[in-house]
Amino acid sequence: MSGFNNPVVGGNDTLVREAIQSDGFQSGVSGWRIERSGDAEFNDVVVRGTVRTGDSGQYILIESGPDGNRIQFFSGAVQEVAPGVVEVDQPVSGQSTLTVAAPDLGYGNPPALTLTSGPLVSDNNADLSSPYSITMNAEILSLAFSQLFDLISARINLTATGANGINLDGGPGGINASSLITASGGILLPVGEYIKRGGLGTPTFGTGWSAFGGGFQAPRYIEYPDHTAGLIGVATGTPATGGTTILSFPAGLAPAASHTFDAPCNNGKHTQLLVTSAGNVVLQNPDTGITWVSLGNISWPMVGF
Amino acid sequence: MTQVQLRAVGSGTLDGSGSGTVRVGPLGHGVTWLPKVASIRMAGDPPPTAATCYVYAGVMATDAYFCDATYDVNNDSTDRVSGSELRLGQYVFAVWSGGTPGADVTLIVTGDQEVP
Repeated sequence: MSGFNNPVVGGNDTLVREAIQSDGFQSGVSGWRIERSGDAEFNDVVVRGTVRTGDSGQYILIESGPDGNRIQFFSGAVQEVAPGVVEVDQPVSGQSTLTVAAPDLGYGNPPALTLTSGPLVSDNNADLSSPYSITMNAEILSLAFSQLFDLISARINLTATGANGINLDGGPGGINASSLITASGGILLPVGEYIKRGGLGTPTFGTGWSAFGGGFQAPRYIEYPDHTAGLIGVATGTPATGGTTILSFPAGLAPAASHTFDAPCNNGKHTQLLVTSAGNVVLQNPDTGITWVSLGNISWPMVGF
Repeated sequence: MTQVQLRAVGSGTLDGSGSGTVRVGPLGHGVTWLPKVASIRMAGDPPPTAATCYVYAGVMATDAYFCDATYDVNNDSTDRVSGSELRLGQYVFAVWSGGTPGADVTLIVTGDQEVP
């Protein structure tokens, strides 16, 4: 014999009953229960140390400590050298941070995302150690991102109430917008500054036509910032009869309907140039004997203007 | 000192809530009990809900003197009382909870005792 045959707790600290439970235990309602299988149910639990769930390779640690409270995610991946972390901290008085860091899967330790709230007492500029940081703080005058910051399918609203407005400094790379920018209050440029156009595009020459050369500007098409487009340069070639297409440019830059321009040619001669909605530049009623055509001073509103 | 066999029986009746305590212990000065087994009994059918019987050996039925506990409140035995040396004023306690109200209960302690 070693104790009762039907003991509450068996010898050697082994639970031999199917389960032990508190008086009046009701699953999901009240009391506690510990089952021999390893399952258990409690009401409130205070754990002074670390809580760990999962198996030996893939598990979650919930822990608190002097450096903040955090949850660590160990994926079990063989190349994982550091766990994923969600951490809540109060680095200085009155300021709280939430940090989310992905695990290092062998490609280098990725930067963490840190959300910070509360006033910065000693610095009005965002002096953030993490390159991926957003600080919600009315006193902060600038934010610095040293690495690419992407928000996909999201919207950023910046509202300034002070006289200084919102200042964006894109650095040497400038500020890039891949979609339409709408300024409902207009755009004010300082003296000496201007809205810059895009680059010069090289057209496709018609049969027998090419750049004039000899130091003159080669024919190019231009998309201007006011949604007009135009031509520059001098073209030469044959045939030089009416209906000859001397060059073509992308149809997206073409006018909605055909436009006709007067173009100077060699020896004071002239020709009409027909710019079509398909992006073709066609000689129209040319003087006899023309050998080159100046394309300057030709511009039109692009389709959709 | 002379060592003789010990067999002590105590009995009682559980109250209206199915609780009750029975104790047995040395009755005279100079007598020392060396219990080996404590057996508990409760007459009647097993109670419909979980019941327990806790056994203690010492001056009172508290955690400091706990020996063993069972869910089988009708008939079970434990040797976890062995090793105790009980003198006058000390007892083996059996404490029922959740038993059948009004049921007769019995505590039997066997072992050795030393008498002057």
